[in-house]
Amino acid sequence: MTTQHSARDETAIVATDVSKRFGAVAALQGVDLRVRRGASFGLIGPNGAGKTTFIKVLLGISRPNTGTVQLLDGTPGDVHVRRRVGYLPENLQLPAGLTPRAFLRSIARLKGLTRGRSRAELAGLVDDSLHRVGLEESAWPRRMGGFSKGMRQRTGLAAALLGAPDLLVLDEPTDGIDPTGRAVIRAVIQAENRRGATVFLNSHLLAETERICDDIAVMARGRIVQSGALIRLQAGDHYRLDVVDDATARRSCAARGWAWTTGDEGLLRCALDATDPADLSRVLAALLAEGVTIAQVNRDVRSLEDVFAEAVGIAP
Amino acid sequence: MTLLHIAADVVREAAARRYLAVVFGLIAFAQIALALALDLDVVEGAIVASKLFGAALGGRASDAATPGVALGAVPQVQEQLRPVFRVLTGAVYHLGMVFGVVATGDIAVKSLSPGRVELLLSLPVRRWELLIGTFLGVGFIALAGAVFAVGGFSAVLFWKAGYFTAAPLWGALMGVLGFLIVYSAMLLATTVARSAALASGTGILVYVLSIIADDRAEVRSWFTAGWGRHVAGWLIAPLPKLRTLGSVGRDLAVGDLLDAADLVPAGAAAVAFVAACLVAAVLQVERKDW
Repeated sequence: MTTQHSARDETAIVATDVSKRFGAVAALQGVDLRVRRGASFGLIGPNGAGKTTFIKVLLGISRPNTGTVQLLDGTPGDVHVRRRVGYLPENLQLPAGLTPRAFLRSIARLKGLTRGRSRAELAGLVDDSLHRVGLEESAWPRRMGGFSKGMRQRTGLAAALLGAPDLLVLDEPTDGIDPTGRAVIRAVIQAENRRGATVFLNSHLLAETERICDDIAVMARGRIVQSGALIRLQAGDHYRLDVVDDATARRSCAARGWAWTTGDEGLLRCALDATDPADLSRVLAALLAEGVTIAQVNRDVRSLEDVFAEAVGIAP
Repeated sequence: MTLLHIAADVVREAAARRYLAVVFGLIAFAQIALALALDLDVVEGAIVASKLFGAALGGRASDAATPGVALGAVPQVQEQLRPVFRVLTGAVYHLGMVFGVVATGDIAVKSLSPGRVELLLSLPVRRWELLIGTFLGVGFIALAGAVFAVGGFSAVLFWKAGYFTAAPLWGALMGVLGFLIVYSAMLLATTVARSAALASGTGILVYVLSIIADDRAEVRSWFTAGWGRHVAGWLIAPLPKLRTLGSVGRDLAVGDLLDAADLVPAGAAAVAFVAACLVAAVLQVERKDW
């Protein structure tokens, strides 16, 4: 049996020319964005860039003034589509009088997860979700009014995970969580992505985004100013070349005007100006012909902070 | 089904609130205090004769049909208890209305608050379901409160006088309907601005104006003939007749026949008012950004 995939099947989110104004303020200005299905996607940008507004438009919580949004081959207004989405909002407010279990049962009912499940199965689903996010069992029967920010975030994430959603939209999921908790949440998000869920992450923590996401977009002043595969965006203009330190190598480097540094391992480290793999191959072939022994070649990788700074036009 | 889930969540959340438990506790305390304080004693082994408010009721033991009250005494019991049930139903209607307005003012505000409404709207829940489900949930809470208050007092009277009637519960139901009229306006106010104070203020305003509006012909006459009277008439016209509904509730509580001439217009106006408020609230929520 063959399975046909259309272009629509390949994308989880397609936003086309999305604009949103709040009075005189243009929160989003013609945003175009595609997120492929199964991607781990990060949206980053400075405060006030319009990231949360964009997420709300994606989920139909806010409506765009212009443009369209396609979500899992449907529209955000379609309840059948929303059934397949898990969402953790920024600054989640939980019902103070309820326990995490009662809250998750309520979410499960509203997601239609009670259909075909016994009470025991539903309880198992809820407990499993609370376990996964690392919320201590002693907190499960407690009212959520006294929860710390981190506990609220974990509970919110547990609610988002219910029903194994096809799309997880997480707005600052590790906000207020200690480093150990962040590692747990990161592991959960990565596991969901491996399961096949598309992850859409909005975080101001660039290190978290860098660890979790394969694709990113940088938003500034309501526009997408940079987007693509993280590995491509982080790739620098230079290659680093390590060669065995001998007279031949030094002569070849000097002849090309390359500066070098020496290390303890008996290697010379040079920086190549090759801008693409073809250039690189030519240079390496010439060096090999001259008798230089090549130890390793690496492409310079920029930090996400550098990518971000360049995209939004600020000095790193 | 989603509507019922949302309504059930509203009830669950309200039930988890301490002050509501305190209020139900106070009602129970008042019921117990009344049970001990009311001069309603069944004497001589609860069979032969009873005393209601100090007045002895006659009857023979062999005629006993209702536990604790001799058969011949039943009509007298009903007659003696009429003012009790009327006062009781009236108190539950009006006090319940005021308390309900204050106690439920923040329920929809919390559901629609930032950080909460986003999560609810990301679920497979339609906006109108969120609103109408909240309305139904508050209706269930009001029903539970009214049944607890009136039913409890009926139980006290049964214990003291050996006479039980479900009629006051019908009166309480009218109280719930009256409250839902007011709550529909509160819900509309919440969709305009998320403020518990505004919602409760709107509830009190609608309650007071509706009481006044019961005498709409007289109110109109306070204004000079011409545009002033017309404007007053237009402003009063949509308000439901809450005092009339309260009076209907008291009639129901004592088992009196209802006057259709009173009930039908008041009921129709109430239904129209609730429907208009809910439609306006739904339209407001549907066009709103969060």
